[in-house]
Amino acid sequence: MVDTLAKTSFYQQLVDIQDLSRRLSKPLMSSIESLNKQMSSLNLDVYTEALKSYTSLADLYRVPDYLDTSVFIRHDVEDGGFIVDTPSMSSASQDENILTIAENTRANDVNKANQEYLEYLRSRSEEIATAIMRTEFEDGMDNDVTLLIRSFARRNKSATYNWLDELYSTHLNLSSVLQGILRTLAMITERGDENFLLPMVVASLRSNSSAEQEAAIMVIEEWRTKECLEALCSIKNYSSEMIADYAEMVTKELKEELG
Amino acid sequence: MLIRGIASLARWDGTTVVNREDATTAGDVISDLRTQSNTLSVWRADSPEDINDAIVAMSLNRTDVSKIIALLLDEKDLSTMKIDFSDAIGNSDAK
Repeated sequence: MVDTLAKTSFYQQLVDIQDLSRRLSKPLMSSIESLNKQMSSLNLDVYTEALKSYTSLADLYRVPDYLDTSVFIRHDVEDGGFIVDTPSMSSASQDENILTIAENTRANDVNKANQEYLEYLRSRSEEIATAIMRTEFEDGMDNDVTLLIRSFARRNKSATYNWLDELYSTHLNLSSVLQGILRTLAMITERGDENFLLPMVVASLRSNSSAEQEAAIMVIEEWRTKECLEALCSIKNYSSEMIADYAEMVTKELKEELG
Repeated sequence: MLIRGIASLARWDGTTVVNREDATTAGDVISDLRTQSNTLSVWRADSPEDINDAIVAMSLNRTDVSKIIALLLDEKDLSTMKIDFSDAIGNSDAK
């Protein structure tokens, strides 16, 4: 019984659709015919340009995530690609064709996250400065401080490096904190991070403390860049003969390596 | 030749101010001379190859690639100073 009803119902639906098609087919065919006539009367060049404009606008809103809000993007209609200009690169005549992307919420989110993490690290500054002072740093050995600061950097490298820079500048009169920060840098930083952190290293190279100078040379030995070598070569006096020998050895190695 | 690794150059810095007239070196070096059962362990090397092996043994407990500073002691100097020393089997992961 149920089977019979179902079949009837489906059959009835087919009949309804057929009937609807019959009723619609005439006006539909008429509309298509009319559209074809209009299309053939169009100037095809104008139509193509209109289509390109539409494509350009559609593409414009698909801005790649990696682009920053400070970057201007213009769409090159000729070859269908984007030209990315930084503000300094764009000339006044180009400005007419440049479309500015309003607001990149992703960049704002990143800035906000960095700021929040920096505030968190600032709240722990004194506690960690004390821990650095009490920690015995040994060459090539991790300790509680290096492990903790490495975990900070893994979570937010940018905020952590900013905070270390602040921690250094607020403890200039405490050599044990400065050398601890440098020894931590030697353990946790990666290639490419060095230029941002180099001022700390240069400052400690010029210190009177042999422990600070040694820590600074250890960072340089880790980073091994041309800028580091220049910094090392700029130091004429070391606080002890041992440190001078160590600096000379690293300088010689880097000169051979960097040419 | 005997080899003893030290943790930091600056600890042995002879220019550090020491507030004792009879002091021969800075107090920080004591942390590099920790004894166990009143003995100080060193690595013995009879050839340059042995020195390399000793450096590898000293680096095995490290967590990061970094400089290694070691002091070389002459066995004759120890004998002159009447410091006893004896051989023991080294305990390291080096094969």
